[in-house]
Amino acid sequence: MSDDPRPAWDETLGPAPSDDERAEATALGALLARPPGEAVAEARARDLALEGALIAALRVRATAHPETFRAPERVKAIAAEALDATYGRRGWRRAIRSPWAWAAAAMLVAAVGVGSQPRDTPEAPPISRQTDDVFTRAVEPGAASNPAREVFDARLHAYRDTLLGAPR
Amino acid sequence: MAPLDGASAEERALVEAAQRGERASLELLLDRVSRPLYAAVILPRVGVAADAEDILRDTLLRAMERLDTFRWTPAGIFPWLRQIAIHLVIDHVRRRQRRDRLEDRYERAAADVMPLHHAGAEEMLIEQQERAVATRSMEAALATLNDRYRRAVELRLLEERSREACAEAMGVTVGNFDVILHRALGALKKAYGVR
Repeated sequence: MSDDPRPAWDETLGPAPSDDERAEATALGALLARPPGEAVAEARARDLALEGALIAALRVRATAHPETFRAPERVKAIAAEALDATYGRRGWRRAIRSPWAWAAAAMLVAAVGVGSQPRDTPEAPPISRQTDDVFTRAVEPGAASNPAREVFDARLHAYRDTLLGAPR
Repeated sequence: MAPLDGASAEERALVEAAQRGERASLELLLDRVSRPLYAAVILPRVGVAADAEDILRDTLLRAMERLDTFRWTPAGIFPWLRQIAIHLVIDHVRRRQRRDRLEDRYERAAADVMPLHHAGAEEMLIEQQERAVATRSMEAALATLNDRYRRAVELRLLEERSREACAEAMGVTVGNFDVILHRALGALKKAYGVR
């Protein structure tokens, strides 16, 4: 009699399993006897291949024995949650679906815009040959002294000041 | 087809009201489709109840977000919802089994999805038909296994016998039965698509 604790393997069943394969097969056998949620959590924590085999088994069970999984109350709760989430996020948009409602909303926005007073536009600083000496100043080495660039910079600053207000 | 016509008109009215933003209609619609989607379309394809619940939630959210884009057909709204669910199942499987290179199989299977129902079909009828699709997919996958592997799956998962009873029925030790079932499920995993 052999001292080997492993069960004898009949070669007609295929190649003999390694110790690792045997251990994983035993683990899978034990997982299949446990509640599916617990079994999946444990398999995911252990090994991708084990998880894959377990999921294949659970798919067979879910197909062959759907009554075990149906959970109608849970499904109703999920549908209700999804509905609440949708209306919470965009109920306002759903509430004004007709073109007339959108037109009325657009008119309201326009009326609010017309009713408000525009801000005073700050006076733009003048740009002229008299105030800008870039046309008369001597050209010096370096890109920053390029007259054309200085004119461009001056106009850009003037435009920005007009738009945003001159810095105080 | 006469009884279906009334039901079909009712479903169409319900969908159109939901598209106008009537919450009560949308609620009724979701109530009708949620169970067949969960029990017969999603769960048999993912196996894990918690994952199936997540996918059902995402399916419903995505459907409501895109409800404006749904165009009525005589098949009703269920095939459209089913398609959304199947695509989410495929996304889920890809995330979980990225290393298994099964994407091609899932891509092909997604293209096979055909409308099975008429608008206004009873919830139970839809569920039965969807379950038949899932069963055919399972049987096709089982048919690819050798006789011993298929027997192991049938005994343990279809007949739900104990490991000991399965081992006895197959004339092997419990430890060896575990190995056979483990190999059988590895082969089944490869054969199983999302149809």
